[in-house]
Amino acid sequence: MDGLLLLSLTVLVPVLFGIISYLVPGYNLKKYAVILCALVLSVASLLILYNGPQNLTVESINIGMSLPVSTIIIALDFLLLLVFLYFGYKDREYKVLGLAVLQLALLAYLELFVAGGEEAGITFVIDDLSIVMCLIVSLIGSLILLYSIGYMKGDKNVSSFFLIMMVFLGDMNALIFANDLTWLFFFWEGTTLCSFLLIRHYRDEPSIKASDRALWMNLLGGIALVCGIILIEMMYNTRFLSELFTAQATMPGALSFLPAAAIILPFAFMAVGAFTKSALMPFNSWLTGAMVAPTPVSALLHSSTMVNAGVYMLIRIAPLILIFGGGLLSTVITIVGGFSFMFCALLALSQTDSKRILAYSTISYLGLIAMCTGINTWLAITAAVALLVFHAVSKGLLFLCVGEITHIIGSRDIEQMQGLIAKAPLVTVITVIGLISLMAPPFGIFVGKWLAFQSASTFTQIGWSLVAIFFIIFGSIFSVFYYSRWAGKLLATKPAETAPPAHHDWYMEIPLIILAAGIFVSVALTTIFFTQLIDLPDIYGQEPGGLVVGEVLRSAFGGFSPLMFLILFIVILLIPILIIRVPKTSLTPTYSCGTGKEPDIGGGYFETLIGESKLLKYLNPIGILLLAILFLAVLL
Amino acid sequence: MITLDDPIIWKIAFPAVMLILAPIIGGLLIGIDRKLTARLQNRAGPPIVQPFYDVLKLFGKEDKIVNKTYLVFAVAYLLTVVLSTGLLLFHYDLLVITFMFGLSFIFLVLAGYSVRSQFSYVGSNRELLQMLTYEPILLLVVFLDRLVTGSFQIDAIWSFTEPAKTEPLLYTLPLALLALFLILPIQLRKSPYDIAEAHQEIAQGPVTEYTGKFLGLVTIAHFYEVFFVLWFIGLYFVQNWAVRIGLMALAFLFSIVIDNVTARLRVDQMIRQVYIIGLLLIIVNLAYILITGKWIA
Repeated sequence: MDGLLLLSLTVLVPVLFGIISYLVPGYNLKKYAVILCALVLSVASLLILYNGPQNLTVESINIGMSLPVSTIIIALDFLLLLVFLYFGYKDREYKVLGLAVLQLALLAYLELFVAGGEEAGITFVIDDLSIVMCLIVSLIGSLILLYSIGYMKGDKNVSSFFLIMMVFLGDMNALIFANDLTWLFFFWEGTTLCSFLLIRHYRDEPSIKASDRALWMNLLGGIALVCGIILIEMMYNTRFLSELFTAQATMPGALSFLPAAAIILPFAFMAVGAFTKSALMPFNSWLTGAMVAPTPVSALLHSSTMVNAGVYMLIRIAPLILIFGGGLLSTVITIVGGFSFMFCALLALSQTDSKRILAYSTISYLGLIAMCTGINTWLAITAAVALLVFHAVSKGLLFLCVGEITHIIGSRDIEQMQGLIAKAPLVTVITVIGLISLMAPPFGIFVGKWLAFQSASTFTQIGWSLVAIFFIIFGSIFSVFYYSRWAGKLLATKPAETAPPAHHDWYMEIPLIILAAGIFVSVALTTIFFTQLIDLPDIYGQEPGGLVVGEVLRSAFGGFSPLMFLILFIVILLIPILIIRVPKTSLTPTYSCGTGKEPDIGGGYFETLIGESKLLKYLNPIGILLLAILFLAVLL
Repeated sequence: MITLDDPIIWKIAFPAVMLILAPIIGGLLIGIDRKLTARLQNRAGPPIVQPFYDVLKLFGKEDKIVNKTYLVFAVAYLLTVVLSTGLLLFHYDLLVITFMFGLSFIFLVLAGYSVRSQFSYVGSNRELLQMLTYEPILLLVVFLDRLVTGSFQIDAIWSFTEPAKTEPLLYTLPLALLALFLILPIQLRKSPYDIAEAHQEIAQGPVTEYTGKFLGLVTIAHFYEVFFVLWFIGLYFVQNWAVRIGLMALAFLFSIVIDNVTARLRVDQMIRQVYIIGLLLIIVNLAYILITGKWIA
């Protein structure tokens, strides 16, 4: 099939449907536009998967006359920055104003003075990594769209909500496929705008505050990215990602005062851009603040779009760092990632608000992915891609579950969710599946952690290896703590509680069921996924397919069969579920050692020890220090 | 004709037989423990097979049940412990085994949380804290094993010094073994770290609400756990059966003595002790294998 058609199906069609749903009156018509968009997008992504890798060059669009795409994108880019300026001015947010002006200047510098020859190149690359990303964005994104039909019913700004959601998906797809760095930058800033608008959806004081914070942090990341792009054009004399693999690095005259090792400086800048997008420490506060947005927005930001863009970028530049000899840079990325993994898990442990728990756990898992890109061996990059996929499925599911639970009980506090299984069995069981899938073997996150653990143990410098292992162990164990506590609360029932007649909103529940099934399917298909869909650059010397022996993942250090353990896991739970019968006569109230009272249970969050107010005042400075070390590692 | 040297005996028949014997061995050990403890306290003590009598009796009791969920998790707990014991006996990946053993703890914790009883709730909370305490040490020890043997596969423990096949793990990782001894009371639920099951304060913690045959099943799971933990320690001297069993017996006696001479600690004391001493042991041992160059990248 024509790659160009598929590209427009995944990029332009969502935008188009967004505009249609914006224009048509009435919730019912909008609903159909959204459903149609979800369908087209899912089918398109599957077609892209079916069609396989290819390169595309798009130079101009013909609508009556021929318009060069580059010019359009540059124009839109400046327009975008003007929009940021407008919002900065409107909210009196001077950080936004200043950063937008700075970005404007840098962009103008890039376009006017640096932009190399107008030689044509491959503008869009569909390779295995972007196919995987496109599947995440399109499939999970579509399910979130369907879900928001049920969730947003009765909201007064629903037209613009759907418009931005769909533009977001299209923009994200474009970002994934873009090979031209200046275009990539535009789509990158596009995600910033979309997330900014979605976070301030409710237009009240806290959402405006949170959105402004998200905006200035992401603008900062945008500046890092544009600096990286300027330096790449100066040092490597190309603006295409794919050409960087064969580029000759030369230090331009203007920068000759820098040491020779500074040739990887642009990647350090891009990594910082990625850190902001993925909300790693010290940029974590924008993502936790973004919790004020409607839940489908959180689901979208956390699983299928925004934050994935950051780690996607890290996975893209990891082989380049290896080629151009940035071993030290990689090590610092490992530390930054591992630091976020461990300490955000610890912060999640002290939270009672389910959405905040999920937010911290997202940052923590993104930290783990970043850490894998820092370890930067074939095993680690395989782990990074695998974690990206499995995390997206599980986290998307959990956010949607929390949204539904909030609709049912009117609270996001996990203390209020005690015994929810008696009130809403379906959504509770699915939530518990989601929670278990994020901590326990044999699910995807475990597969990723298992690979990460192995790859960390192969570090050439044993000292760093120990640090990395330390982060992985404590990060994992903290995650187990807060997830199992939450799962336990959901399940705590009194005897003989029966469910009230269920009220079903299928728009919300069907996506939940599909995603829950997706967790099992994705684990069962792990080996196929590894052989078919992860393709590493030659520099790594080995392919993830080398891991797969039959149904077993077998590295030089160990073996594990996801499918076999998935079956065992299901058997272990199904046997008791099917066999155990509870006769009515043996039902009794809890024994509680004869205290006989309805117990008042709860607590155990250790807020005085590890609460946000305690930890963040130390963690933020350390995060900033790590960023400084990142640049020092390149320059010294 | 199958001889004793046939690999099929050691790869399949022996582990399978051991898996069946595991609860019996575990139960007997608990019986010995009770007898010894009683003798130390100048009591006559129950017969050694008392744990089996107890379980049999539990199976004849009437069930008192709060809900189905916690029963499901109890059975899942038992099955996961059996699975991890099986994986250990059949020489699977050590890292996977450690995580599966951790999964059994997760099921136990979920079982405790699934009933609205303050005792099992507090017990589960503490069980999580205990897991938080021992699991990092256990994983670090596994990491050291991997450094020395070059693989997470248990088989590598036999072959890493080929062709000499002489050097047991004990010689390269003595302090890591001590770290395992340190977390032994947690895994065996014994004093001073029997915080989750503290029977005098919270009445057996997560298993408070179980009665009848389900309590019996949880007890059998505990038999398996005892076997698992000791067999794990046996890996430190696989070259000689006498020493290997001696090592397991030593660990077992150590846990009994410690159980009898110490009183239960608070959670924060446990975390501090285990982390500080455990990490110190591991780091010193790591330094040792690094300096002597006895590690494989």
